[in-house]
Amino acid sequence: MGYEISRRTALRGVVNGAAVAVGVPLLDAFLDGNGEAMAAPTATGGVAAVPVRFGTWFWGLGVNPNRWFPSKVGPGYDLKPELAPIKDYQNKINVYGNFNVPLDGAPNLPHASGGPAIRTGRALTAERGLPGESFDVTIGDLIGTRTRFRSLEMSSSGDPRNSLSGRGGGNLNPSEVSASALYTRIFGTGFKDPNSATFTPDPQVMARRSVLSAVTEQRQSLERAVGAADRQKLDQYYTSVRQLENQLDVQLTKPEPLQSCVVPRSVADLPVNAEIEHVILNHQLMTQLLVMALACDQTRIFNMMFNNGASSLTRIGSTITHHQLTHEEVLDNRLGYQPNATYFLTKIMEAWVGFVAALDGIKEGSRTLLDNTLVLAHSETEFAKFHTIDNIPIMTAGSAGGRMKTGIYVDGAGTPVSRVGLTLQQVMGVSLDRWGSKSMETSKSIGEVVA
Amino acid sequence: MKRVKLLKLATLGFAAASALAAGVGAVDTPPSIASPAPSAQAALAPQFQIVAMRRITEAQYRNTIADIFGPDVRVAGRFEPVVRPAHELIASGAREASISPAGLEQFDAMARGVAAQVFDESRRSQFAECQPADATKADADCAGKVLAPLGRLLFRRPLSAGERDFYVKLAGDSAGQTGSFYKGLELSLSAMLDSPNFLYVVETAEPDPANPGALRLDNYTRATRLGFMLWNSTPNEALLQAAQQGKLTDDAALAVIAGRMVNSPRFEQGLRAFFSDMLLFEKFDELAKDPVIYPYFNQDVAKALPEQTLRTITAHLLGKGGDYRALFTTPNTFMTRSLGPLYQVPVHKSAGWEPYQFAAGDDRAGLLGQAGFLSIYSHSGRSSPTLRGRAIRELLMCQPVPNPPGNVNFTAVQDVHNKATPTARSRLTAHSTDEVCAGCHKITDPVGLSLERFDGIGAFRAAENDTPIDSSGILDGMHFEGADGLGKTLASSPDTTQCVSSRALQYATGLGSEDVSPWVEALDKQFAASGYGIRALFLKVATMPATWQVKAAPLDQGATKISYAGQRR
Amino acid sequence: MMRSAGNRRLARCSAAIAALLALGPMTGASGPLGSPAVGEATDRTLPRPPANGEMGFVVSSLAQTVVPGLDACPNGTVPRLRDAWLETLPPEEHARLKLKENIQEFERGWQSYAFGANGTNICSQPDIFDHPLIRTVQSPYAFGLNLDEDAAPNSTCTHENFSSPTGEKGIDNQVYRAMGCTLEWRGVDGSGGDITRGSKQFHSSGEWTQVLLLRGVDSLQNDNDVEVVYANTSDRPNVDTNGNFLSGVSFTINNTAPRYRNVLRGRIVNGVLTTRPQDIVLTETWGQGGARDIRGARSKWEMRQGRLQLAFQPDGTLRGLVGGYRPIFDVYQAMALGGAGTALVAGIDCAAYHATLKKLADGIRDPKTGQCSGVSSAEQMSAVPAFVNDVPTGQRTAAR
Repeated sequence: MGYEISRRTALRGVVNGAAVAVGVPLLDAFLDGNGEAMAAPTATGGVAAVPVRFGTWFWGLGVNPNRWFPSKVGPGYDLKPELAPIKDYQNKINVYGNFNVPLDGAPNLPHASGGPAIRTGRALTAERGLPGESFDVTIGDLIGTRTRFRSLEMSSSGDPRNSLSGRGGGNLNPSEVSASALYTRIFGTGFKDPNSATFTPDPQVMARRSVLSAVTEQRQSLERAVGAADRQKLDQYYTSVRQLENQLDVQLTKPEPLQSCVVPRSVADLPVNAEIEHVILNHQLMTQLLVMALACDQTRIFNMMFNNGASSLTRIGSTITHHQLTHEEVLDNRLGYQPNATYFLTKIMEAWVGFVAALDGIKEGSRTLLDNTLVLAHSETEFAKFHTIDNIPIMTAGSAGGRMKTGIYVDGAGTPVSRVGLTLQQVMGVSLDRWGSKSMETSKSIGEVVA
Repeated sequence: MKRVKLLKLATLGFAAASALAAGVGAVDTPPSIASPAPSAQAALAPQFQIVAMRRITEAQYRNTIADIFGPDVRVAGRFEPVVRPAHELIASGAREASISPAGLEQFDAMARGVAAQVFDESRRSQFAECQPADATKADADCAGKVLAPLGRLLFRRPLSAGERDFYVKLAGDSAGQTGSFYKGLELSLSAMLDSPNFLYVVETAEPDPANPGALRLDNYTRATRLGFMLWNSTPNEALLQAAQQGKLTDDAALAVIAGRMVNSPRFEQGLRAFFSDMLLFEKFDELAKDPVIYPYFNQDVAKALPEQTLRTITAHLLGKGGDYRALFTTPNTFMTRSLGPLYQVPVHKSAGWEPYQFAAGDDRAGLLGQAGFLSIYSHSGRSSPTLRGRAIRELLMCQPVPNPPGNVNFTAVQDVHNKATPTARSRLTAHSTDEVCAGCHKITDPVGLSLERFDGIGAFRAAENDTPIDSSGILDGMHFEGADGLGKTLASSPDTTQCVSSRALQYATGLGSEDVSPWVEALDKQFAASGYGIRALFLKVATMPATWQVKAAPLDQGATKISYAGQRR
Repeated sequence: MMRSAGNRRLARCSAAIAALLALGPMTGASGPLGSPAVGEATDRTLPRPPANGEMGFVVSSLAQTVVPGLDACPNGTVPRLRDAWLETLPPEEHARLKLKENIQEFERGWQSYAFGANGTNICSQPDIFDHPLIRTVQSPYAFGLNLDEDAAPNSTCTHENFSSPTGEKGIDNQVYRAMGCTLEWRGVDGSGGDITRGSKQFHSSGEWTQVLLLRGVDSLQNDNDVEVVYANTSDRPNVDTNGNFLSGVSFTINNTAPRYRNVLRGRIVNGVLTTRPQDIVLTETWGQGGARDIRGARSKWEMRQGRLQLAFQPDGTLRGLVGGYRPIFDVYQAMALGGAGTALVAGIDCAAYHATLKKLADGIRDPKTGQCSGVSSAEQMSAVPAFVNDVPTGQRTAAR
């Protein structure tokens, strides 16, 4: 075919010729993949009357990567020995691997850099505090302003400064370390039974509602002058406005009683220290109190620290710490891990499953408290012996009221860990399109897990 | 000045009259304006109508907010994408795009975010020249002075008196509720940003005096088209004034204004948007490669690839005023540290971009030798002559290629470890023994196979599975060798210049390829006469009558045609 | 000294062992580390150098060398501080302290072994403590270079030489002799400890990337005069998913203080580039710790009378050794960075390590006292091709 022939003819020739040869009509199936309507995460509260909560669960000193991270990406991931405890809840837990923490030349401060990077999307430069606002606080600004507690911080191994939540700089939300003190704080003086409390509509929501009404009021003037195709678009637009109005109306109505809210009995004083046996018990008690605090809508944001970064966990009768073991115990080349240090990891994973189970044990309508919550669980290092901070183990549990897909292993392929924070914030309704700084700045959320 | 006033009176009067004539309530019409006698013709036949509603894109939204409120006002949120129709531009898709509940929720969140920033304490004085009598109470007079100019900028036309009253009242009501004048302004501004008048470019038409019975786009619609077509942003003050003065329906004045716009540095932003649309740059957002197969690919590379291509395009077409066809053969491009390893070339600057020229005889020539094109049209773990060939046909020559049928067995193509078929060429040959497949692959593969010396991320390779790669290609009967040969062949094909001409016209009008086809050959001839300069092409598009004509489409039965457009002019 | 059976076998089959080493765990399972640890010439055809004679490389691995096997340490590996303290006590005390009821006493006891008066500790002030020396390498084999072959008289101190596993005599590597039986170097099973993986980890983090720029190369086979710029860059390397360095990446030699840019001269004989002895100074950044403590203070990496011995490989890479005398403090500092934590958390007896290094010092001799304050050392090095941008010509003379 020469070039003298006109473009139109050439085009027809190609297409018709091909159509004949192939013998099939043109399919629309190969439309570019961006045609799908976006998922519909709702901002504050969603259409359900049940609130959606966000929280974190932290453990120190990482994992043995080859014994923890799944090999199979996507749904139905495989469970290696150290992840096996989550088996019963696997369909409600996502695992995230191969997300990196690029520090852009800032030092990797052992046990200090990893956690804040996940929470703030920034590299830590001082040994203490946070390099920016942790995103649980950002989410709290959105969903935590109307409950009695903006958030609850807990540390089950006894150090009130063990916290990764705060506005940045020296500001850290201190952790409650004793279960009995936590009880008093939540259910002592000042506790109001949510089911008997009066309802005051949120003025912010009312203001938004009036904006949408205003938009609708102008509908007629525009519709009069449009053709059929544009009318259809306008109809869709106003249907969307109506739907958003309905969502807000739900929030402006007194919610249904919280059926699962039962005020627990008080908790006895227990030793608070870093002995693993005590930590496990303390964590259990705190978890039970937290679960009721959530069921009774006393808070919608929480941060639980199981142990600290350079973990001071010990076993009763021994003084050697978890942290010591990770460094002192030589990597057994045949086993491929440190057996004594790994003992603690097993206990940690069991505690995590206990935490998830406690949330899942509370029914909320057709779902459970866990389903209506999104919990981010993570450590501060990948493999503690070398203080590695790329590929820090991360999980999420719960679906934030159906906004997250669950039961998936995500391979981050070396992309920055801030993608996790960006995604979770977006899922929780924070309006932002990029997050993190320098090499950790990202606008790519993790599409695989967004429902 | 006098003329403007007259115009205003006339249109307002016309609106009131037609609203009455149509029997609808004059809700938006100020009652104080006396209505002159309506012309009989106006009462009988609709003359102003909305002819298109085009949703603004993410980039247009961002540019608009930056232009009106300043670049420091952050727009944070996810945008519902405008869907690209098969084989067309996103600019055409914008005519079809509706807004879903999730999309609106995001727009609403962004609107509130923008409005809160605009009227926060640090910025409000920039936008509110007057002070309220009491900052805790409504002040209709001051609110009107603040909101009317902003409404004009956001809706790309002056607000009607009814609209102005409406937004002032909204601000007043909200000020009452919140006890803050500025909170009231904030809410009213949110409502404007949520309005379809902002989220859509509402294109309106008026009778064409030169063409009795036909319609032409009116002045404000023209201002908006020029703004988005040439600068990818909302019309600026100068354009809105030109519209107000009726200059944009005056051919001579229009040519002067458009000429100024294509010669402005801001045209680069417009040109980037055009080529991002034409070359399907949204694919870069989803670009992912298997890191085990391609260790040289990472997120920094992914970020740099579209930028390299856009820099190459704008430096050649604008910086040098170069011939469009030479985009397929130019050895000049730009490098940055993250791309150096992929190309295996030295990069001197530790940060930023630097010009780079491939040596004579290097197979990397033109856009098709760039890793951006080569990696998008590849799979995550292997190259694809078929995808590359198809993209060249569809994107650069505007020749749609049919999709494969649903039941194809791709095993032969995918098995890159089969020793019997070590190269893509041999695998495709095996695949194409199936006659059903052969028909289409004949169109794409001989073109794409010439690029096989570049792997799935566009890195150079001489061999695949230890077998030397044959990079000969055929395009419409022309035989050639490698990317260099392909570039030369494309540069000499009239299809490529006709294609970009067609795309430019589609981009301006939002019409599809079929709709603009009657004008393409003539446009291409004028493009040729200019030496295939891109400024000349866009100037031509901006000044040709076809761009501003409107196909009269029948309105909905029973719809009242005039009141909206009529009352606002 | 008695040779163990294993050593005799090793001597007979040195060539085979050397080949084995290339694949052994000591050099890592794969990647650039899985290569001969010595700069052996290759008989395969080498590519021609570029026309301008300039070749850039980025150092892709730099790690201590260990000849594997437990027989190098017939008395076992160096005990942790807890056990080192026990060894200072009479045997009957061992049993008593290990009883469950005495665990607190045991813990107090060994931990106090890390501290002295006024809060001093064995890692921050190792020289004021008198701990017994640690177990040292008893095998006659080590990787390394013959550093004192052409040394000036009275410039070194008395020491024993090693032989290389391939039979080369006169190998100087007192760092290996001193440290080679620690668990960090030897590992529990003798196949190599944490230093290999640790070095790779630190190195690929890119915090102290080194580059080589060769000038005046006429042939990769034989060339009488080659200039080698050996310098630091603050540009970060690109690595694959396994942490292996990618080739063809551009780097710019640091032109801001501290600017370490060593200009060496050497020659190529049978495909092996060897540079003439010269003091080499580079930065060493462990990236562990903030700027306010010793860990964050970026240290120097010095090789006095240092030299490179690197073989050109057919795949374009360089493999071999960098050797020289390292000031004791530098060697020691890398371990003792954590202060008392090094002793308590990692169980390292810093005072004993320090005393052992001091005793085995064989270089950097003070002409007045006759004391040596440096230890001979050799590290395995590999480098992959890179584009190296030198500092601008006019500013090169300012280099140290």
